[in-house]
Amino acid sequence: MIPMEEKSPRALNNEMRYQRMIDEVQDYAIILLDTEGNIQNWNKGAQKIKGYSEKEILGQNFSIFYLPKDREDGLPFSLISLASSNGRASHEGWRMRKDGSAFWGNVVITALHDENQNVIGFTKVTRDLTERKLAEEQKDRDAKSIELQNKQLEEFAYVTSHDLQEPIRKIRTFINLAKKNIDDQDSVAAYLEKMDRSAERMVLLIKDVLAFSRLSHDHSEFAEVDLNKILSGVLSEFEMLLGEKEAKVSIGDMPIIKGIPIQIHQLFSNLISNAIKFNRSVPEIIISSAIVPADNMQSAPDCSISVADNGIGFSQQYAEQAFQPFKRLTSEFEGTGIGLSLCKRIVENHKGSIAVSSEPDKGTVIQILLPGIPD
Amino acid sequence: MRKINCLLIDDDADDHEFFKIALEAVPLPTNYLAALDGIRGLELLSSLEESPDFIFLDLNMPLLSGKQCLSTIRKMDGYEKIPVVMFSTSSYRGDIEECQGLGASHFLTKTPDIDELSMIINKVLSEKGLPFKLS
Repeated sequence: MIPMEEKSPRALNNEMRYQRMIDEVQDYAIILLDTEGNIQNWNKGAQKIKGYSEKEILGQNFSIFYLPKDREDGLPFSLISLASSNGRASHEGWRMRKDGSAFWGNVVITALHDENQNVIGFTKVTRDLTERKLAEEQKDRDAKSIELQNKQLEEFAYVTSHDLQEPIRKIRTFINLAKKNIDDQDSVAAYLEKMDRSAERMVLLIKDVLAFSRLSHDHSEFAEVDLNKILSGVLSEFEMLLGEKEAKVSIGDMPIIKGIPIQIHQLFSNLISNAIKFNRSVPEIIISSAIVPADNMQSAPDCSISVADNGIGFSQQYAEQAFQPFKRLTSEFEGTGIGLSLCKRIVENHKGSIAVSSEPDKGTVIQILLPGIPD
Repeated sequence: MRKINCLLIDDDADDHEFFKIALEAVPLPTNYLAALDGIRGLELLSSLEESPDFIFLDLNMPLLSGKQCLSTIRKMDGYEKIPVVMFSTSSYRGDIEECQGLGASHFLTKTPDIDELSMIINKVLSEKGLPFKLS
């Protein structure tokens, strides 16, 4: 046996200071593991990052920090065996604190060797990079959202350029025709009338395009909105038209929801306008609501609202097209094709969903789901 | 002399009127057939004993778009080679290329000048080797 060399007081002092340094480091968890991955040593940083006290954790296996799924997949073991063979192993991923919460850990495991190059344990240095990780994820989400918005904008620019050009082209064609027939007063009068109609359509289109684009920038405050009041307001605006068509409207008891009042008004105004317009006989409109229990216990029940009519309807295969901007399902009635896409955007602004079921010559039911107000 | 049958499939009544005026001004014996949307256009085609000589097809129609209509027409028996001229307000390159890919014969951007339209229809009806994009 070689006698242990007596350490000088100075060397002892250095060793102690070194141990202190490790102990006091707070931004890194620095842990000593034995060859099996059992924890031998614990510093303040480890306690701060992982939440265990030294007393609780000594002797436990370091796999305790890993998510159940990663443990099942053998990730902790594969990291120390990699460190055994390569000298070190690094990894980034979600880890678990004592309280079960997750943090994003950047981990470096380094093998410790004796004089004969046998592995006698590992040091494991972990940094908590949760904030950086969350910021990166947010950045990714932002980038995706910008991408989506750009795509929508591009689609919108395409349809607006097409649809807004159409009335202008027609006005120019009618001018061309009027010039060719300038001596025929009746023809000229008819063409002027048609120019006027195209110009009117242009105005409608521009109004709708503006209404649609304004919606995406509307960050008005949410307030409690009584749908009973909104609906009676909308109906009074349609009083004349309803009278002309002798339409029957029945409205059940409606809930109070959280929403942007002006948008909710617009939503029902568009739906009722459609129900009156796309009808060849006497419109019957039934508006009702129901409470839908939420999927989980935490959130409030949803409000389901349905607007049903007996209008011309359409084949269910076109349901998706019905909500696309400028997509019209009929040329029989005047319209810009914006109405339902506007409704969809409003409902989405309110974190709800909208669906349609329809049958030709039977009618259309619009079903809206909006988050209810928690008790 | 046999008349040249020209079918216009377009949901816009004004555009039918423009097309009819332009077609009548073409110095050839022609016959104008009309369908007011894609679905009715396809119905008409399958009911005809003799296919039209030329089909003019609007791009932007409700329910069945011009592009959908075009690819259906190209799959119909005897319609593989019938000239189909896309007729649209759009002059968007993506539309033009897509229609070419779907088997359209020409792409004609709707013009406000009836005389010009008439001249172009005349060319389509009487000349060979015209470019894909007509105006």
